[in-house]
Amino acid sequence: MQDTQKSYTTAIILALIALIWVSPFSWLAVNAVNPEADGSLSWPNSVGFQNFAEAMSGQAGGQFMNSLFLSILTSTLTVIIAVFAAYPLSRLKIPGRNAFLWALVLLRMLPATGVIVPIFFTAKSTGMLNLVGVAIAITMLNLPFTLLLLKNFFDTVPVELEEAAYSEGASFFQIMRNVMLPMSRAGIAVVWFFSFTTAWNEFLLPLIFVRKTADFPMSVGLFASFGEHSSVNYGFLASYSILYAVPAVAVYFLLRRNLNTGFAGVGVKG
Amino acid sequence: MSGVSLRNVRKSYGNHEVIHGIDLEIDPGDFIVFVGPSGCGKSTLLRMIAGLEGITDGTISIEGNVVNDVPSPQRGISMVFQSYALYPHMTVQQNMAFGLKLRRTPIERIKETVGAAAKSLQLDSYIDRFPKALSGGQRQRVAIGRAIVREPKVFLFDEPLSNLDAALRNQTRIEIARLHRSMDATMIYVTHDQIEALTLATKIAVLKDGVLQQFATPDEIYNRPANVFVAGFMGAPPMNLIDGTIEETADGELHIRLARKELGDVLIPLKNVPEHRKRLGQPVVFGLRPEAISLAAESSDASLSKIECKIDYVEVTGADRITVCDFSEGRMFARLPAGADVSEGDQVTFHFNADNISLFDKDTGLRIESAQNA
Amino acid sequence: MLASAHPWLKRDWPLLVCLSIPAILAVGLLLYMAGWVLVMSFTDLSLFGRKATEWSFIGLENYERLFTRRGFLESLWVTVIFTFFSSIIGQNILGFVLAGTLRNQPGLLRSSIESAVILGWVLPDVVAAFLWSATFTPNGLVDLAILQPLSIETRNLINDHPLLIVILANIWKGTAWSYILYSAALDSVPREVSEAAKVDGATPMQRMFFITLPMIKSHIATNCLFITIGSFVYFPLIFALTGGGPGTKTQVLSIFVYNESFSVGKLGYGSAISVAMLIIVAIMSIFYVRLLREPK
Repeated sequence: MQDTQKSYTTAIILALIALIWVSPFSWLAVNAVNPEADGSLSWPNSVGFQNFAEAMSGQAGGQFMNSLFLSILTSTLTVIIAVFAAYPLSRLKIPGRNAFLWALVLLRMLPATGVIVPIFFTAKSTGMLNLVGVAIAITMLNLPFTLLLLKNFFDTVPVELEEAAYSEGASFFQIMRNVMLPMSRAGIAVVWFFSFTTAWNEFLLPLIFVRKTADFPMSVGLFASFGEHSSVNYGFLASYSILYAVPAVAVYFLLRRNLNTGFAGVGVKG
Repeated sequence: MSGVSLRNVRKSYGNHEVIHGIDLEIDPGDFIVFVGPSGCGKSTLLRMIAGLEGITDGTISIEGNVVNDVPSPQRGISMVFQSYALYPHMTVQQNMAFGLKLRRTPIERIKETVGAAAKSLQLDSYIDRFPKALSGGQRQRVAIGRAIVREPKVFLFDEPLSNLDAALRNQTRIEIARLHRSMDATMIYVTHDQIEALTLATKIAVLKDGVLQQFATPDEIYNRPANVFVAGFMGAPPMNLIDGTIEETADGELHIRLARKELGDVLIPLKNVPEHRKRLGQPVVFGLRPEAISLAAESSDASLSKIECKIDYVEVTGADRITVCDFSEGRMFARLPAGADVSEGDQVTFHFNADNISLFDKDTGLRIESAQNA
Repeated sequence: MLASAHPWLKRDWPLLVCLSIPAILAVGLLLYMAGWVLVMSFTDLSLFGRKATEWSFIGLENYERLFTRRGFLESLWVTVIFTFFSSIIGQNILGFVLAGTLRNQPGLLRSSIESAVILGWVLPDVVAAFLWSATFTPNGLVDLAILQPLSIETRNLINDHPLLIVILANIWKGTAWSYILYSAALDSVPREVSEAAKVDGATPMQRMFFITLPMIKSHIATNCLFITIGSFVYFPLIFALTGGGPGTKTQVLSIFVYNESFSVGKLGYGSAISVAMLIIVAIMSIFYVRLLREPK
């Protein structure tokens, strides 16, 4: 009896936490569907999707494509580079490799705002002050962490599987494709997700790299429009925010199963 | 008063019943083994006695007290888990002392009890080690030590030997038997290994699909299995089970005609008793232990029954030679002495004593009790 | 190294080397950039003006300024408060409590709360900043739902309690990470071990403190390492939400670096702050790695 009561109380408290957690979204929701949104939290007089239409067309729509381009380029680059480098790191007994990797990860802890100065100058002198430059910069900054992560995942693949594949005459690429990659799917999912979302969310690099509004990814586009306080189009901002958030959220929930195992691996292996 | 008593114990998960009303009376000091194939409910039953699973219906009592609603720690039981479940962050000493500490036993007393248990299990030189620095056998002993120090009325073992290698398993089995003799506590032991069951138990409970098949001494289980399932499950190789029909000869004697065309026309004499006579013409299952079979050449006693068959396979196990005859359905095993001169492909004549057989009803699978068993 | 390697690695080692080149280049580039920051920190290089071209080495002057000029120590203090309360206290404890309680909840409740918490985590920083500023404006959610019913005068909450709101925002955003990690950690505790403790007579609280927590100690240290460092160098949400203000009330170090480098234009000084941050992070890492080390 007491137990059921206790579990009811827990359930109600938990539901309340969830409610508080999602409550900030209420503002976003009511303003996005209100064609006359004024930025206040009130029931819209009418509901319509004009805001979304506006946020998907013209420059705003282009910024969506910019973000997509940036994120896909970054995640593809990161996964390919990291997979091929993590494999020898995992399988060859390179002396001091762990200390080396941890040192790199530590280096990555250099505040992005600090290391951005040399990155900016390098990009400027090589004519890379554009989204490709941003993608390369993010890849470089994320590489130590992704290398360490993938190496740890590769470490858990039993070497016997590779031995079996080798004795059956598999080439290096066949071993990779048929043994290593499927066996460390969760790790690759984490790396891909991690680099995709970092790029999708990245704010500082494009803020400094990209000057033209048409080239902005959505993070900077959103910041730029709500930084201008004069006459804010709240309906546009809210629907733009939703459009910006959806891919990041969707990517997580699509990969959820893989990611949860992957993150568990991160936790266990540090 | 009984040690542990189960009355019509049931367990359901939702609408799915996994234990279908089990009654067991376990005498104090007995060593009971629950045995059965995986999924038969033996572990669930043990965990219900331990208080780790709720009881859907029926009662479980320990030393006369109903414990259905008594929390696990107050039931006076100790449990040894399959994975040993040692606390990885505690030393051997701390592992054994944990339960005593929780019940606020004086420190001096804890030291004494743990020290004595460690000594009797030859763990005294490892007392400050962490579990991961121990071998499998040592971990096993720590788990047993942890169970001993609480001085329980009932010990529960959940497949404790399944993670050990063969040599260690035999050795630990003997240690557990010795432990039982020195403790006088009731022990309940779950295993799927029928050798463990036969060697350790004072009484065996054979379970299948959540139903108790037979509860009896190892001898009885082995020689007088209650049904076809028990006959086929206990013993390696298992009891040979061959279909047949009870018939009457012209002179009024009874026999079984075996329905295996590979064996030719075999008639096995049956005692002329009412239990058999009333089943005239009915299908039965004829059961014969592999060791009850011998090669015809070894003795030509006319009172023995004969079976002829072709040997398809010979398994050499050292002390024995196990021959296998494959039938279109099923097979027949015979356990012959190591010196037996048999090889694959031989056509041989087997002898066996028809006084030492089991008979089961073909439809119900139940044993037909008669005087014709050992 | 190669002598003991597996035969297929020996067979393919030129290929392995070739395929590693991009990673080696990227890592080399990163090291080069870091070296650049270190060198800059000893100069008076400026983003604009005369010092942008005619800079010179000034020794440890930038580092002396960290302690003599106003700014760095105040900013460090803000960062420490922000990091401690939002990660160690907020995300860490809330994540653990959620992971512990949600395990025993029915699937629907569990997955909806999980989704709510994770929604905050995967939300882009700029959108999160946008939401949080809207939530705390006059006539925003907090004002309408809490302040007005209690007849508390409507005020600009972000101006009055900027650090608190930034901390709350970071808890809201980052708890999912701790939650996911602790869920996995709790799953790693074998069921039989906690059952053994139950049979031994441990209450749920005792099981938590004597069994579960010690067993997931390394997960706790790993998680704390991740989230403290993450919060210590966190930039976008705070920048987009308050820009470090009002005044310098939420000027954490990462924003301080940004302001010194790009608004004030003192790249040398900004680099020195970066290096100082790196040293602090390194010290924290060593501390946690020590905690991770198992007793002999």
